[in-house]
Amino acid sequence: MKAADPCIRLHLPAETAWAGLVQAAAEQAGTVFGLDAAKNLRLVHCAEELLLFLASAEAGEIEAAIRPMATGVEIGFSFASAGVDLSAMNLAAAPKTDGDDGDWDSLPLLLASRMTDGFRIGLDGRRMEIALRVDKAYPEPELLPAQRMPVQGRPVLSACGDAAAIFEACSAIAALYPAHVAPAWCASPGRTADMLRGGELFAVEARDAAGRLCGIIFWQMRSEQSVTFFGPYDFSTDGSVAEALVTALLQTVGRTRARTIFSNLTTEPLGVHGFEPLAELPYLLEDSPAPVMHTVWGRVLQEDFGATVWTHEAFSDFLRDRYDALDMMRDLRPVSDLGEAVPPGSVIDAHLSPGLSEVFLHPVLNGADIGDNLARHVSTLAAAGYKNIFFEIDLAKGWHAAMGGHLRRCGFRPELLLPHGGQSDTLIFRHVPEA
Amino acid sequence: MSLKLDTLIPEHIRLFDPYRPSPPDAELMRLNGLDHLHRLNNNENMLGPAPSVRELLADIEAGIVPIYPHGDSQDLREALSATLGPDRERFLVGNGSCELISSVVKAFCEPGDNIVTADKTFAVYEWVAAFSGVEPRLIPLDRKQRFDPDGMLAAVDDRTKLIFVCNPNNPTGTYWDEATMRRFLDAVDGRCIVVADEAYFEYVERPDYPDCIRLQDEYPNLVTFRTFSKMYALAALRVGYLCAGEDVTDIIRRTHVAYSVNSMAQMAARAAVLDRSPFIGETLAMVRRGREIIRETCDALGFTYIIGEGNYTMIKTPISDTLLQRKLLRRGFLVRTMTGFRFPNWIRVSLVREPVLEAFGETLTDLFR
Repeated sequence: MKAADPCIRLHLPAETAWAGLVQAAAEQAGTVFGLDAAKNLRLVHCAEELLLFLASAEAGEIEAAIRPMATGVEIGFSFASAGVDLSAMNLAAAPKTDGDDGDWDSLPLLLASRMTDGFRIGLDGRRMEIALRVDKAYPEPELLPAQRMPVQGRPVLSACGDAAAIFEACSAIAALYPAHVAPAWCASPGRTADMLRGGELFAVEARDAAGRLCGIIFWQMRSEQSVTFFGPYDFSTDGSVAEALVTALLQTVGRTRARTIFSNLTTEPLGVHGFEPLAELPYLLEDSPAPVMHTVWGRVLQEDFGATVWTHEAFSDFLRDRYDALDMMRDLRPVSDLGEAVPPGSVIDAHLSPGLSEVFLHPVLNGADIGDNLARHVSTLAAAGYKNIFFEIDLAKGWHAAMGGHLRRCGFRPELLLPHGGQSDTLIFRHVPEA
Repeated sequence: MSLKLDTLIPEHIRLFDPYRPSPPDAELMRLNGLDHLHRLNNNENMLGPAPSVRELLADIEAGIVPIYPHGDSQDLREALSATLGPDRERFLVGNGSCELISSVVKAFCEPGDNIVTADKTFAVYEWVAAFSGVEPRLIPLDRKQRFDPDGMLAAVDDRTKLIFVCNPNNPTGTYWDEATMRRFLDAVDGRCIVVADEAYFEYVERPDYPDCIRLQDEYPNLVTFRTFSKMYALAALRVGYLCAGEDVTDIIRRTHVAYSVNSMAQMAARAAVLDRSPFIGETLAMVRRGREIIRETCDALGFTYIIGEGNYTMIKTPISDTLLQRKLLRRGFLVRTMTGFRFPNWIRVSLVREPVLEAFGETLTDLFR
């Protein structure tokens, strides 16, 4: 049996006196796990600020875990969730930090969240985990020149993980495809290679009889049940490699736990390969006066026998139409206001892709302020120049569906239904300012 | 207290995805607003079981239920011996072939070992190996969709304990003739156990198709699986058996769960073995007619198809197999999608009664005309 992944765990009380120990552990771990000095300093500060926040929240006994990831280091704190307000994790959070009535308790969490490259919040029974990620710094080397090539013989396909091959592939993608169909990590071949090595990304490459790289396709698990892919990137002059790449992708993921596969970064129409156009998303880009239409292509990988999902009157008609178009049987269960108590502060996760001027928002924790929080996010992101703002809900979760009214009022329209995109089907809304 | 499952679970179990069965037929019919559901997805023989088995099942009294079944299905093994020839000690009966696959892997493999089979075949060999911590080596089928004997031999090394040959192959219906099987067994030369899974043995009418129980006298490393779920139409009762040399069977029996086959299943399987009615001939005629219907339908639609041995065919679909599965389900037909068998955009269709296949052909034509 493979040895367990390395992880440093500390059990300690959430008290400021222990901050030095946590800082020291983070510093040592960051060095061992490959962070450079600047990034390591961020990890140390994150660790300190998180502990200070939990101390001010009187979180009691906590567990800290520091783990290496494929492209960086993650530090997580788990604690009994009762009474801890995490709303400072919001990108749009702006706690009052002046005067006697300032929200000084939230400041450490705000600082920690701003120093990281990503975060996640998990709930396991009554315990909560906040985990912050600090990525390694990667060089962005000058890419190699590339041009389309005549393929000699029948291409041979195989799993790709070699850093030099990744560098060659990233160079060819940058040279032969428009920027809006190239994933952001392609600009950093070292990061891409680490993602492949760490199992965060997968790729199949095609080489012709002369051993030359003539195509590649990438994919990653987006959730337990869904796969998103990038490509196929076909470097041949006659476009003869794409079909084999797509078939290899389907054969590889077809016998895994994945139930659905989709992409909005495809390079060609995929209907001939059995994919269905799931939506046309207009992207507003800096260098283009008219929206660039991104077709989302997808297909279900396993047999679908029907399910039950939550719905809200704000998007019920959309769901019925989409399920009908997909020949997919679903019992739609309307959400009801049960009058239950919810914590005051909600948390919304934001995943930013500046190159596409894109933000993906996900609800993480429900709270009484969820409608206002959503509006704050839209306002903050629009002010920062983001033009493509999306919000995704999981139809397995009633409280997600219950956001339908807030989403409508904030100018979000349902645009994309992803079967099995999360715990159940997910619904993606696009912010339409004039809506 | 929180349960830290991650620290308790072996990685090969954590990464393994459990099989998800379809909901009960009644639930499927409710969801889809159907008043009928034709099952073309599991290669069941809807003509059966044989009349003598039906009579036996109808006469079973509740009084046998408090009593444990016979621990190693002795009466059934006697009947198999009397019908097929080998001594009863060479037979081992299991709760379907899946239990036997598990028993064989447990008997011969330990972590670090590997099994060799095809990439596009019955998935349970690969699954059992994977969740047992044993490496499945999956060899691509050849261009005619047959198991590739040379590719499989090349994959064998000193940690290979088992080779699974699905003959005829599910889902392609291709098979090794006796000459190919003999050449393969000669080349293996007793280095590891070769399992010939003959789940669809009774459906094959080709004169060059090998009977691997008969070959065991020459090849002591050969294990043969057969089942009562397919031709004999006892799928609900879950009975399969293996036959091997007495010493090999004895080793596998050590890992096998006793009492795993219930009394009704043992009795019905015995009756099926001893049945001399025209049931099997009628089933073969039904399957032959089914092949004609599928061929005519696909030719008219311009669809590619594979019609081989066994009571199933494969059809290449112009849309994704999973979308077609949903469209057909809404019209009352269950089919098996093939993406999970590494044949994206193919479906497998069981060959059942003529009126049902005629209706299936009409529905397919309506969808794509």
